[in-house]
Amino acid sequence: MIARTQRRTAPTVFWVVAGVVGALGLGVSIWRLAQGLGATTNLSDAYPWGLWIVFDIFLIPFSAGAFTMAAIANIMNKDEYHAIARPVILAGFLGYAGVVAILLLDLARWHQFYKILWPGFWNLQSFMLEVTLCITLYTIVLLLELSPLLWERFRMASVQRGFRLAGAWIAGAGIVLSCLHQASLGSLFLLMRESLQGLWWSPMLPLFFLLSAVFSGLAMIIFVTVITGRAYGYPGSVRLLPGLAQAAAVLLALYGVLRLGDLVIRNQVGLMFGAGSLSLLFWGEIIIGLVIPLVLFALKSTRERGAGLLWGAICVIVGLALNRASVGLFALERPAGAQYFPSLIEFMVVIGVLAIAAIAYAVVTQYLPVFSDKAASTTG
Amino acid sequence: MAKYGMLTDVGKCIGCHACTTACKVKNDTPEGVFWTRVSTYEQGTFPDARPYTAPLSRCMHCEYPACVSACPVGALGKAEEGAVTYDASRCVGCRYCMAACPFHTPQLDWDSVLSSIQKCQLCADRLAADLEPACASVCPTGALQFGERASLLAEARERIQASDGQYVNHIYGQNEVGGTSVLYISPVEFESLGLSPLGSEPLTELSEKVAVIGTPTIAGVAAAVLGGLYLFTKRRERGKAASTAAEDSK
Repeated sequence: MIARTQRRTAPTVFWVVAGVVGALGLGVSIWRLAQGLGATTNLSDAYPWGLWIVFDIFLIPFSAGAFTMAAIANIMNKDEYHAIARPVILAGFLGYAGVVAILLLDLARWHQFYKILWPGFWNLQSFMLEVTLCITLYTIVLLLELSPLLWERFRMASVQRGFRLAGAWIAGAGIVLSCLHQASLGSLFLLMRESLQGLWWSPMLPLFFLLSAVFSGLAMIIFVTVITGRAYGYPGSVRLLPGLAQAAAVLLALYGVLRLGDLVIRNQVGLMFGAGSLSLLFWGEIIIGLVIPLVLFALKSTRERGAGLLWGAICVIVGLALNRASVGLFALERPAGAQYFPSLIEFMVVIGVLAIAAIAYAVVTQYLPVFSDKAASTTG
Repeated sequence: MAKYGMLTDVGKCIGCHACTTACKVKNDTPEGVFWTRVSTYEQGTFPDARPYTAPLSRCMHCEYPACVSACPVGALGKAEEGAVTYDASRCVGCRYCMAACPFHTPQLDWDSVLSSIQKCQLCADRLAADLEPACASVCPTGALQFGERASLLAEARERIQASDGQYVNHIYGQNEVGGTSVLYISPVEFESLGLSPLGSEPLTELSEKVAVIGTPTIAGVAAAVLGGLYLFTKRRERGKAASTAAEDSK
């Protein structure tokens, strides 16, 4: 098979750079746990949440590619998509593992983190609880969805058969959990009616977060497939992408109409022009994250070319980052005079997590049958 | 059970910091952390400027506290008597309470390694022993008055009336975000003291409704749609397979 012969290990420079950055990230993470939040971050009472939370609420919908993929491949039984499912689910799992790691580092009282998993402590009205539980369970689901890599690699046929039968159920559980926590991430901000600026606060936040997670997930699938296709010489699957881009265009249009309609109904249209830098941020998000990719994905001439697909996906992802950064950081009202810029350690942790995820991706794809065409029907 | 509250009369505060000190001593708060502290706000322009003081930016002990609703592990609670209390032994330190508070009052002792939330507890232990909260017990002018919320509201209305138009005709905290146990009356605009205008609907209503109704709905709808889709595609495939098999046999 083409895939097998062309698979190659990443260049040495990748291992060196990612290794150093990852090791530094790991080191400062331990330092952070030992020294406390005040000594290592620039967070304050006025900015209790910073870079890490923004990164989490960005990375979770970015990793939604995995559940979107599971829905297409397993539930709608579009078999041809099984071929690109594994790299996407692997990227999704690494994304969630990164989120869990950063969430733990962000807990001021991390020594008691287990209490959030213990029913005796649960406050069922808290969306922080729902998000945490769903993310924990979903990370396990993703691990199960990836496990056929091992059964295949080590030729454990009977386990493999079992997973083939359970595949649809595991995928189904993952999709329900994903819908729940993607929406709940938006619900986290429902309590902030008085502090989140009107261009972003809305009773529709859960729906907006869910919808944007689905089209961002599609963008992530396109991004991962095009990039790995180029890096690993595995271009065969790119022909499946225009269909996904078309679906993303429909969802982007729906999202745009809902966002605009919501602003009109809530009588906040004036803020689109009269809120200074926040208006600018809003337009940046709408133009980069919505208008440009909508055009690129809607036009047949652009969505059927690698460059059009890649740029459309990148725009969606940048737009998603702008949206989550606005909701989680920029558009929240602060006491007068408060300022925040992430500390070097906060940046090093985020970059370190990305580097370790990249190393894990390279190692797993090298040693386990991630790109195997035979994988098709066994992908859970 | 009586609902307690605290009336803060900005016009009566002389800025002596007795409450700041009493609170610090009683609660033994970490270095640099104050659960209540007198702040100074200057009003007007020189030479007609004058300072106003009051223990501001302290926990308001909301009737419908966003922080309690936000806390995933029940470390924050609302006592029947009115106090919003905190239990560090349950807290994981996610700081959602700080992000959710419309008054920006919960703090963190950032300098500790395992930081905890720092907020006024309305001296719940002193109340249990039939004592007033430390801050109110030492106030020499009656700027801080502890009592039942209902009678404090009546008292506040009386003081506003007696001020002959000197006071703003509004009790801050009577209706803000559904009402708070801590109330303010003042001869200067509340906004200039850092008390922003807030809607009277509780912040928790929408969020809790979505939690109770929205969550099971999303789960149910997602499961139903998935099941339906799955069965539909399976059946269609079986149909296809059957027809190709039929064609093959011809």
